[in-house]
Amino acid sequence: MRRLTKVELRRLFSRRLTAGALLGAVVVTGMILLGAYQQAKPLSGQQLAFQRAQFDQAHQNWALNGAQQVKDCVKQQAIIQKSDPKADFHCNDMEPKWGVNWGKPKVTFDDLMHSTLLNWSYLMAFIAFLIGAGFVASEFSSGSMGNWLTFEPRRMRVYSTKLAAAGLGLIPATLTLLGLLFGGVWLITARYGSTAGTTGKMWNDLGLMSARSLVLAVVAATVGVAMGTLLRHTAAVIGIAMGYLILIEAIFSHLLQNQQPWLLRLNMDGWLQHGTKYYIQSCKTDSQGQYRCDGVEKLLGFGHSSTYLGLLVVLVVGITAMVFQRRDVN
Amino acid sequence: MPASIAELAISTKGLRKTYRNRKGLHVAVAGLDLDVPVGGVHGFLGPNGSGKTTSIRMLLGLIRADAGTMNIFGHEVPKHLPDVVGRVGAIVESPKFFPAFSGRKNLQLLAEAIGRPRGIVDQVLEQTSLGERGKDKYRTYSLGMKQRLAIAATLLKEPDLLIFDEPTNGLDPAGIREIRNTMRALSDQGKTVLVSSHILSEVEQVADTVSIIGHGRLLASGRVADVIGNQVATSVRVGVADLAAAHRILTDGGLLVREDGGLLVVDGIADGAEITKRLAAHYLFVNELIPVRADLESVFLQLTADEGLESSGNAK
Repeated sequence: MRRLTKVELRRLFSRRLTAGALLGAVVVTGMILLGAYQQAKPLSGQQLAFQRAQFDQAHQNWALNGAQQVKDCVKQQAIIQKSDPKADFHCNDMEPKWGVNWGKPKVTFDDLMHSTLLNWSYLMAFIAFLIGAGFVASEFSSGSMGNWLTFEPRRMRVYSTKLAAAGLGLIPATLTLLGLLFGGVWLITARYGSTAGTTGKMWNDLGLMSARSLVLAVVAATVGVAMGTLLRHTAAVIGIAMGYLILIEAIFSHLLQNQQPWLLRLNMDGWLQHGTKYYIQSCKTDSQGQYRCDGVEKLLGFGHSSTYLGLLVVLVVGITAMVFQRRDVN
Repeated sequence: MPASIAELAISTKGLRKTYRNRKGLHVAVAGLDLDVPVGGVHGFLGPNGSGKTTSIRMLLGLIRADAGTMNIFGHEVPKHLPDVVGRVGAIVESPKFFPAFSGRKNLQLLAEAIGRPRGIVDQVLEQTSLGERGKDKYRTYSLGMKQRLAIAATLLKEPDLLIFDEPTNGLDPAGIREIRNTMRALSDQGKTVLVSSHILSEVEQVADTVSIIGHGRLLASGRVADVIGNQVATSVRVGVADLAAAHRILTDGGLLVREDGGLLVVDGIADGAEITKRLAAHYLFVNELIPVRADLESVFLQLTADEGLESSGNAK
């Protein structure tokens, strides 16, 4: 097993697609860091002057009309609360504030790292999936799988070593890129934001999130191998993946509001963030006869997401194992 | 006395494979009984679509048999294929390697997978005259070089049995001769070579024994000379000044006679003296007498015609 896994690892890293995809991951990491930089960099002098002028005007308006605006707000809130006691118009928080409504607050390392890591993890998982899929699908499309099986006919051993190689191979690459990401965000916030308030707990949370991101990339690579084995063409795997993302996650997701806990992306979110929130529209006619729709916040637990993803992986990898064990290979 | 399974390199009994397609069930192999003795070159002949490649794939565990048993060196396959696969080198149809890797890299991966030392790669590349092109990408290889690389791959295992499926397909005459010589050399080293082909003249030149299949069943098997001798009567080509008179005399004598290119061909007779005697009795004197030796091709055509197989290999 170990010998075969080593050979598969050598093959994985000899492939141009792997090299290209990892280079792509470096570029993606760079672009995400560029986005983080854009988010963190302070306003230019011209932008700052414009924002200041806008804020001064809003504040003058508040000084003249603020009290009345709060009164009106409270009145409206009271009307709505007759049908929806929980309605909160935040009437006590209407005063324009510099650094909140105008100007630009200083970013903190914890906040910026969290959002950056979240976005990066999705892209890294997708790249890992492509690497895994292409790694095996190329063997089927070139016909070399048949040749390989004349050297090692134990198919489960062959399949297991390919899964292991793709998973193991992604670990050093993902760790390196995670290091690059952390270093980059640290430098950005040290220069333009604040790193001082980063507590031990924050580091711990970010560390755990990174570990989950690493697991996600490894799992995505192995699922890629399974899908590549099942469909035998990289293009078919990409087609299925893109079809799911576009049709289910993008176009029909609003029709599947109550089914959101069963969509892949939300569960990836729940896995990465140790639980996440999602919203569904709740529509009803209020006491005044008006039809109103409100967003209702729901929680998706970490346990749900990890069970969902775990079962999905077992299902895909297991079904492929059964198919590969029995399938005729050309 | 038939050889026991342990004495055979390959043995199949009642091997069967069907495929389901849009037109229904297609029987690719229909109860094939095949015995390949240890040592020598065994030709595995049949028209296209007769089930040669399917049979080989089943032996190698690449596709599943619906019924029947298979043994390689006495080991039941595919159940015990891992025990014997190290003794079997195979090229099934065209050579298949990673096109973006060099020939050497492709072989290195295979050698490492079976725990062979790295040095063997250079050794087999030299053996197949690919030493200088080993570093080039596989996709830049000519068909002949690809075939040689595939042979090199089979030699990585130092196998006792080599299975070559249509190894000369697409090769030029020099390439064909090279492959033929390689097969002969491997056989001379004591290895068993199974070569499937529909190019009968090639197989005839190199094979010691043959099996002929059609419709996925065995039609004939044995030593080449025996198969030819059993199946086709010999003929004699006769040159004579008065063809028409000679034709009449021989036909009246109960012989099967036909004209071919200014000569008479007398089928079903091996004794030229009998012909000269009969014609001389009518003052017709033979100026040319050529015994026609039956060849594998004629046997093959006769057997497959008897089975109702067209040259394309499609069933009636």
